[in-house]
Amino acid sequence: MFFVDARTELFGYAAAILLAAIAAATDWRSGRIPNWLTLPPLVIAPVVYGIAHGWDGVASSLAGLFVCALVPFFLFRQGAIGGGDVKLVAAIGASAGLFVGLEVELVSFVVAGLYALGRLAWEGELIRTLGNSFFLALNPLLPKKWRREISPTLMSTVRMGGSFLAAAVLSLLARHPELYT
Amino acid sequence: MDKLNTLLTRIYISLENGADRLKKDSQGLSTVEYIIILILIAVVAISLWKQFGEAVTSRVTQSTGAVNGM
Repeated sequence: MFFVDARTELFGYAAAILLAAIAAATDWRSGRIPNWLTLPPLVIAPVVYGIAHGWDGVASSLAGLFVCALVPFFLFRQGAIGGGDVKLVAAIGASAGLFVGLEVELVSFVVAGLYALGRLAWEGELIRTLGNSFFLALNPLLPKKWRREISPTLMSTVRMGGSFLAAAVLSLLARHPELYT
Repeated sequence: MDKLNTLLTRIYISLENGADRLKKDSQGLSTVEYIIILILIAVVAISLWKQFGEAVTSRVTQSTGAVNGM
């Protein structure tokens, strides 16, 4: 049901790459991903998919929107991720469909994680950040006396815009080798 | 039934508050610590899913073989 043909998938990739490229530029310049970029695709993409593929298209686009935004939304509620990032993931999911959207989302987190780990190693902050991650993940499972509260001011941050762009391009090249062979 | 209604109302209010905050927030900053946790969870989930898929495929192949051998 959520599969689309190769031509529609390429159009989806083009939209996702365009969105991610503009987001990367605004994020790099101001640390923000504006609503004028992320909100319109949430409405336009399902309509375009609907015109092209009927209700199956609408379902694919809406599934991409909601499923891709689910985990980032809960992270946003924890204060772990910016609102602009959540809306960008939702816009990419709506534009590229469920499976491509999830792939771009996962790869972008890996790219951002690797970049951040490299940067933190360079700055000598890697061990502290890994320790923070360890306690954030295990605090709910540890006895009270072993827990360590992590203040948000002690956490490291990364701008995600560039990693969404890199992930969209990598995903496109991996799924469509005919573009460069 | 009342407890379920209360729970659903709480979830609805919490989601609506989150959605309101989300509309106003356009920050592009994310916390590295949570990204690392997310990647680890995703890697574990994907490998478990793959193992589950392989186990199912192997069982189906075995069953098909057994049925064909009858």
